Amino acid sequence: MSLQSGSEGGVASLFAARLTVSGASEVGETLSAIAWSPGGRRVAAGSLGGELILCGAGGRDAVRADTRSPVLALAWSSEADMMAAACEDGAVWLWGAGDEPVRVALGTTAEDMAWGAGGLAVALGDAVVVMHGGGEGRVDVEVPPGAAMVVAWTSPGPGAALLLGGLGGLREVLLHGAGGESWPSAAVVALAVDPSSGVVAAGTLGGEVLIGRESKRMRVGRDAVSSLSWSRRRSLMATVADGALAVRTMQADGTMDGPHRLAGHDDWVTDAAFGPVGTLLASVGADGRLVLWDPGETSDPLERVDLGAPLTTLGWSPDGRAVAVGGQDGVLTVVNCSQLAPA
Amino acid sequence: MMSPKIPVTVVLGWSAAAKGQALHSLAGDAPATMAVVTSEPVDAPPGARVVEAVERVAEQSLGCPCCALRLDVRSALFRLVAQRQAPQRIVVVAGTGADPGPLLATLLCDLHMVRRTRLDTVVTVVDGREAAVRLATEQSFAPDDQGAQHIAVADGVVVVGASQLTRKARGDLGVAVGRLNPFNPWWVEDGSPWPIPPAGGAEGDYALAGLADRLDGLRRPPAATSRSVLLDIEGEADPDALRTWVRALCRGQGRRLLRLQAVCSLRGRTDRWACSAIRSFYATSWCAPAPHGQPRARVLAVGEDLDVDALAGSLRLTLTGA
Repeated sequence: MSLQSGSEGGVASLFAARLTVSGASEVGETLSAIAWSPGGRRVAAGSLGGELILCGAGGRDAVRADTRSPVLALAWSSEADMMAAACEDGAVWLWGAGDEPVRVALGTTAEDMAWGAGGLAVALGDAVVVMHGGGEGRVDVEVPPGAAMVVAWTSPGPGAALLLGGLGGLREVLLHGAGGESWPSAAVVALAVDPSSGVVAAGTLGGEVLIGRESKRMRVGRDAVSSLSWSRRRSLMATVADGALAVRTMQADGTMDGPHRLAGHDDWVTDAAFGPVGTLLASVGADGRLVLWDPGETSDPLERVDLGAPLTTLGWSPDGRAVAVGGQDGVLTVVNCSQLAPA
Repeated sequence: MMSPKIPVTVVLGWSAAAKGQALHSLAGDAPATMAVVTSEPVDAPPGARVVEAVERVAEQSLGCPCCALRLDVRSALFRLVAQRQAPQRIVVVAGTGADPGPLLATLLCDLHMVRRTRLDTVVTVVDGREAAVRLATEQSFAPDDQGAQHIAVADGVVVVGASQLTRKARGDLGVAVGRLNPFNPWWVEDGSPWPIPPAGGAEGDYALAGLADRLDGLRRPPAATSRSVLLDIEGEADPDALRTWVRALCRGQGRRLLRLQAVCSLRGRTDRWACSAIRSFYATSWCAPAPHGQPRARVLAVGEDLDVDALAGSLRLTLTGA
């Protein structure tokens, strides 16, 4: 693999054999979240400094908004007509196409959110709010304080339940029925639902991952699980803990095989996610690298590209042909990896 | 491979002046790489970035004020971490009357914080003269005294102004500090002789000027496991058995226990027993009956390398005898 490096106008333009930088936009402060619109035509990024940008799929032509509070999570509606940003001051910003973003104050802090067929679910620490129709309708569900720090829908379709992670562990919230199970554990800080089996993985503050309704415990590190992702098929699960990236495979009986450590960074791994197609995995690290893997085939890296500043977050385009990455220097870079994507 | 998480040192204590001295010592000759987050006026080293925080608290878990997040500190840390040239070290100075619980919970349990920062050390600066007055009038530190909590939770305690105390006052203070925090070392600012050797550490010719070097030996490893666990178990406990459980827990896991909050139903009583513990130090009180009358024990523990299974097993045994 050949790797060349250079810089144009402060924007990294580095090329690996099968990766090219499509474009970049500068935010200015450390990026904390990235999300692509479902159609893949736009990409949004938020910073810890409170800036929000919307770019074209190439990472250029950014329009900006200032939320004045750290952006902690981003999500798009499935119709792609609206993007939402959860902010540390408890507000959610809703940004429709061609409109000015609208601020909706929900609570003391907005920690995480997930958009599903049931609406936009926002975790507020002591409650979860599900919003419909751009904020006109909403359902509030109170939970013990600190219990709603991360949120996910059990499936993208209608009738799905909500999963909440936080202090006390994991709990299920049924919006149209009473009750829901709960799984007490150390504080849950990361959630991911396997798209092929529906199995839930919950990463804890103490470096464990709880798998499925039986809540089988698996140690993946000593420190908090900072990233958790399932592959679209074959039930591979990637974890980042203690700055290391590892992949495990769920067997037919629900047990996990592995771990297979993936070594391709020279420094702390900060984020990793499987792409929406096949078993392609992307990771970013404090070494400024984006690394592409296919852990279903090999534990060697497929490609690496060095983008300079330490990287903090990444997001796959819906077609799996590009990855947007953001770093401490506040630059959002879109890397084209279509040569690696399965046909 | 170094963790990119920014180390955070927490400075607690009663004397703003002494906390200022501690900041100067921690900054060493590189104040520009340090940032200070403070909720009270403090003499920060020239060149250090100072972010003011106005106390803003969000309730957590059991609904008590001490199980909370310090949102102001979180916001301040976000502002610092967001910068392109982020500081290499952050020092959080807690106010004199601040409960250390929410502050430590923020640094150890908030998912956004634990991804970006790591709690490095907690140092408490005690004004010996003020402490001696309290001890002389009250005989001991009151269980709900914030100063006592500051001492109990520290990785290292520095006593300043001890040279102006009588021999008896110094002895009483030594015993009180050692009782509150038997696990970690403490030093006297001026190196003057101490009548009773510290229980957990070494007395020496310590001065605040060397604080940074002293704290080097106390730092938590970069990947120290911080854990929180919420136990929610049905049943009512025998009061003596519950007290024995807390005492044994604080003695056995006290070194690793940064915070414990318990609300438990007791046999033969309608009101509930509440307990707040930091390391080996604990205080108890009574609170209102359970809302739905169902007897249960809820315990939240925050610490490092806590043996969660042992904690759950022993509590269940205490409640149910099985």
